[in-house]
Amino acid sequence: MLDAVQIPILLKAIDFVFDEGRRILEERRERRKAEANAAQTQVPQTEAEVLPLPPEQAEAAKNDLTAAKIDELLWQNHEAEVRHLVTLLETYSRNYHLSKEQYAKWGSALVPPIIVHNLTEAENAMLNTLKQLEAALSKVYKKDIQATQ
Amino acid sequence: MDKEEITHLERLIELHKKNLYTLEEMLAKYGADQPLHLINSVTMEKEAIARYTKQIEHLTSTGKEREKSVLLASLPRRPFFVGREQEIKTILQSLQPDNRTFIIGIEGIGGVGKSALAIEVSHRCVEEELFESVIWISAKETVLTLHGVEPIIPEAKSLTDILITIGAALGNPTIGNLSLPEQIRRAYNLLARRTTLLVLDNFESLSRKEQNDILEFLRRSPITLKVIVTSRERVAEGQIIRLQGLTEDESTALLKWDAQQKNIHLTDEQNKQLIELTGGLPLALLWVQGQIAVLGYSVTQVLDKLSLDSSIPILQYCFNHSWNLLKDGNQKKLLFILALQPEAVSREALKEISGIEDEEEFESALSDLLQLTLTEHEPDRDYFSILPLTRRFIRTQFANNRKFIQQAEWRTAQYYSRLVAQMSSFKEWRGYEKLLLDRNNILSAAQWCYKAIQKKSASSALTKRTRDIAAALVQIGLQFGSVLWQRAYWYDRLTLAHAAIKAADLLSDWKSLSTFARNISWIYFYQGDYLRALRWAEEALSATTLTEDKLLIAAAKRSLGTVELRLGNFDRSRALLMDVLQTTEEFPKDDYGIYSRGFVQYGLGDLEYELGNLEKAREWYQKALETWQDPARKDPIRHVSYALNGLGFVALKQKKYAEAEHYFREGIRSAEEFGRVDELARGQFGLASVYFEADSNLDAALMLVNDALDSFQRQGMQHEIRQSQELHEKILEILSRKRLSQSAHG
Repeated sequence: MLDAVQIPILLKAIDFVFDEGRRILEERRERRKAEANAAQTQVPQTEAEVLPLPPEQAEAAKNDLTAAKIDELLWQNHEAEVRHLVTLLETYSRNYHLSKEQYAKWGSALVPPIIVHNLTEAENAMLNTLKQLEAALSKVYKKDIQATQ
Repeated sequence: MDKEEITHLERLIELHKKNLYTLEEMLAKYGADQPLHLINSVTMEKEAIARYTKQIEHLTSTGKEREKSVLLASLPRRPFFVGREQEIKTILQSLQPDNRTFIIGIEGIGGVGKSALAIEVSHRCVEEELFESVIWISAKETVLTLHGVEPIIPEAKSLTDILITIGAALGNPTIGNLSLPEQIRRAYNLLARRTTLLVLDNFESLSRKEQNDILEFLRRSPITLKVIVTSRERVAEGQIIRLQGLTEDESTALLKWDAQQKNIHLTDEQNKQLIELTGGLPLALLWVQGQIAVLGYSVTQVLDKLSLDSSIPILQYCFNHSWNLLKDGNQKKLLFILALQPEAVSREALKEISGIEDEEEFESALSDLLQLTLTEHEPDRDYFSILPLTRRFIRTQFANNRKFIQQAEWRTAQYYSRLVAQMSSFKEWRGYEKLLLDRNNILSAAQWCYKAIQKKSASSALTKRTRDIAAALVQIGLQFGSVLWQRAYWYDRLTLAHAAIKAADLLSDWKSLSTFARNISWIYFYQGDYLRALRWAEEALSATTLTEDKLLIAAAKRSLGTVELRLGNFDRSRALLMDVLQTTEEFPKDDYGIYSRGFVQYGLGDLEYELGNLEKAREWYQKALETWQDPARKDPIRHVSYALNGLGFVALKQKKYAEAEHYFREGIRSAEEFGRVDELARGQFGLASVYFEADSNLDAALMLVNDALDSFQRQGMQHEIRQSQELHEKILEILSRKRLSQSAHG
């Protein structure tokens, strides 16, 4: 058995799922609200809003995971996948920040559609990858791991 | 080997995964503007991983099991299935990889069980792992419920639909996004990788264009593909499996299973009636039971509905599609003729009755009907028929085509009257069996003639048509009646003679009238109803005297004389028979004269036999034999069995067993050769009596008397039934006594 704290990439993955993911979901919700107010109309939402876990619950779950022990064999089987997903998340995260900066330069109301599109794409890519990472971590920890309600 | 292969595949998956990760990481860096070549590369890597994963699953048994259950889940539910073993065997043979058949067409009318057979075969293919994939595609547009025919959305209406289903089943669900040529290429690619059975159900529901497109696609498909097509129309390609109704046993098994499911009980008689009415059409059988069980109809109500109500949904469901496809009048004409006849009709009769003169048009109409599976062809005798339920449906269409039906009915009578005239001559007896193939159709034509003239009376002026119909009936009665007589269809002959007597009366045709009266008298005589026989013999004699035909008068007197003999009026019998003998001697060269002389000699033999004058009886029987063997008669076989059996009974009475056995054997041989059922039975009875009295072979005697008794009972020959029953009991008694003494000694 291994201690989770001994594996830096695993900790990074847990951080992504419970911190980064949570932040993106909140930011998306805020942005959507702002856009709706600016347009004075209800912006049609293509998908139901996904809500992150409340901060205290997310923190507790994260602590549980970092303190837990994991099966070495299971980790070996999924290490490459977790590593790959974390690399992807780092890149998507960078893209996301760049898109946000561009978005910010134009101000909320005047943002060209291409930038909104880029931002949305980056958001979606991150959230999708986070879902995959949740699935991979669930296999490593042999329990259902979810950072959303 | 498998283990090595699995390790290799796992290694491949690992490599592809590495590539995939690298590519995805590269792709991630592009944000929203991802380059197409990278997207394609990612897709290819994913496909490769999926492919190798599937291969691993296939190599492991659990993978196989999973695949099998997936395959079964994609097929329609397997219904209770009975029969069709031969068809299943043929289809499974054709589906073997080394067999070159690649399209199998299961055809038949609606409700005959095409889809059920295809489902059964598909399930067996999965069980026997004959294919890696089984794809079921249905183009069914309607479904029969207990309340009627209801529309459903078909799974496939075009080649594209089929290609999409193939793509989805073989791991490429996005095939529909491609252009049609590209879809076809991709489908061939997918099919080439796996052995696949494709089942196209209700193919006839597709338009002609779609059918052609699909067949074109199938023709060029890879050899890994085999196809089963179910259709109400003939499929132009491949092997044909043509379905007809279930046999009685199979139908009964289906009904019993279904009755158990629905918790109802039908008697064997009701089941039989149901099977007869539906011709063993499985859907009709189940539908009718459904009406009883679910809708609460009584058995009689549903059976009545099925035989009388033309608008019941089962008829509409099974036949409307095919009926609506009939293009021209010729096809309908042929169907009407087939529905008019109770049994199969010869090609020649169909052509003549339909009045379609152009050979090509006739053949094309016939071929269309075969393609629509509305008719059945019996190639060995070249006859055509329809199922009972098809007949019922076609008859519902008679009302809209009254004019043609009336013409066809008259043409049918004309045709069969001509056929009978050609084939019933006494010299043509070797062809009677062929003529008897049309027995019920001929009788049905006679029945129509009788109905047409039934209400006319001889006193009123008759139209030409009425006279023609009456003449046709007389013709059938005279000539076919003789055939029925000689082949012991006595009940049919009795009915026919009663009908024809009316026609002869209308035409004031006393010769024929007396002949029919005499015919009736003979049948009653043989059936032991001597008083009726006497009445009709007198009637025949009184009608004959109007004709002044000496031989006919003699025939009537002979009939009367024979009845009197059986009634014990020996003097009158002798006087009549001697009178007849004198008359017949005036016609030494006339065939009918010789025939009558033989019979009167035979009758005198019977008289002497009854009186116990055995030597005299022998003389008369011998004379009868010589008369019938007269070289002036071209065909001596026809009646000699009567004389031979007579001689046999005399020898038996005189206890000359060897001689009696010889006569009976000869009598049996000649009766068999000619097909004279009554004399065959009499010969068997005589031979059994010889074995019994000589105590030579009791087992053979028992067998012979059983056969004879069976035959007498079928013909209703009361006098002979009594005699053979007595003999049967005596043989049984002696046999049991012998067995008892054997066991006592043993």
